[in-house]
Amino acid sequence: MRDTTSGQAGKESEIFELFRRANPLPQEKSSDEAELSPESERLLHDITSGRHPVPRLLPTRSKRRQRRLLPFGAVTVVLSTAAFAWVLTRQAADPLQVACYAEVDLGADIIVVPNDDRGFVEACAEALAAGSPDPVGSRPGLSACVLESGAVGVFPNEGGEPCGRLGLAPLAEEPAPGEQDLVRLAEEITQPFIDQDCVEPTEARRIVAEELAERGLNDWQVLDPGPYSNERPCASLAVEPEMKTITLVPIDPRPPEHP
Amino acid sequence: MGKTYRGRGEGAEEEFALFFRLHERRLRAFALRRTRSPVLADELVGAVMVVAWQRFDVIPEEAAFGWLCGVASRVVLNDERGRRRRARLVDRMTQDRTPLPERLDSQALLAEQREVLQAAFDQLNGDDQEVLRLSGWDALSSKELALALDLHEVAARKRLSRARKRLKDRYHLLLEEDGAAAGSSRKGVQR
Repeated sequence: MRDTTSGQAGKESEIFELFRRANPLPQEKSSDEAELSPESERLLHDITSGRHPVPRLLPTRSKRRQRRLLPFGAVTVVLSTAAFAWVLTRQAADPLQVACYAEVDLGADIIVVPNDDRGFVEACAEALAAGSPDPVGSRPGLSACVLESGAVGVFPNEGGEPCGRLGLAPLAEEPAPGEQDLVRLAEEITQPFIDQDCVEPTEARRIVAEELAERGLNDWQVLDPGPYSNERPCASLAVEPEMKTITLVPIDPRPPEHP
Repeated sequence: MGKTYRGRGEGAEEEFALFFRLHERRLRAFALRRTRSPVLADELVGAVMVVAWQRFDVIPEEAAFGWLCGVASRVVLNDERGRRRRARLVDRMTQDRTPLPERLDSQALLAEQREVLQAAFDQLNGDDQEVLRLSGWDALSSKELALALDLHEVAARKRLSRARKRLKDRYHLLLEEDGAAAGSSRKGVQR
């Protein structure tokens, strides 16, 4: 045993204290007297004036869907490879977006992109290729895994079997029932909001109601808390599939984009 | 749930400005630790705070930072305009490679301690690492932990307790392995 007497740590509390001291960034204490940087002041102003885009949320982790375990019993003795694979694969809890990881590391840089009908891996291949200095096609293959949150993460295949190495379940090959319908709904319902610089609230409510009715999604709710104003006369929307909710959000008109 | 902030209405912007000043720097440190990228940390702080503004009336005052951490773990750095913004974000990500501490702080501990502790921490699963970071580095209380992890408070405390024990066990195991290897002139922790 090597000598660690100069920094002896043995008890759980002492080791946790070591860990606490090893914080790679100084801990910031909450303070109501904190001076904000000009950038933070601008961010605060953008948020309260509705100029900051509203993000989508990954679904809250579903404890019941977190793990799919076989009951103990004789059946476990005769598990075939195929059955084992079935047990370990999972379906996406949220098929509408995918996290694309730059490396086989849960702490690596990620880009979160909307899923579309091409599938998670293709969506990430495009996003990663857009930011890669390497020519498209020279990247290794990608694998889709299910993250702890139930969302899908796509990782490079470098080194092989990224899901297993990260302790994640590979994404099941068969999509969950209704998954493709949900992806199509999200794509089609958001498209008018992407195409137009300003969708008026009345028009937004019509689009959403029509898309839901067309698909027979009568158990979905549409929230439109407003308020709309001269500064925020347009509607944006957020899709939360786990809550079966579409929320309309007042935003400012999008300024023309300059190339 | 305990007392929450006021919703929209008179005085809401002033109250949110106070909330923002109270938590923004701490949230930025949290985001930097998680994303290791100033650009992504900016995106994350903005995204979390805009959700906080949208849902200001459901944030529990006594565990607000835990609520923010919970949102941060679920927020998607994208929006319906993301298809156009995505390319710009990718560009910025590839340009912005400001080095940030990715490992445990080497200054605060003896080198040997850091090596062993780093190796022990790396061997824990993601849930254990997350609860240790939230408690040890982000200083979340039990109530805040519960909100951040979407667990009951008792379950959050149990998870932290188990993670601390596993960190200790891994730490001691690695020390023992290192000690055994010392006889054959092995130095440091092999990872």
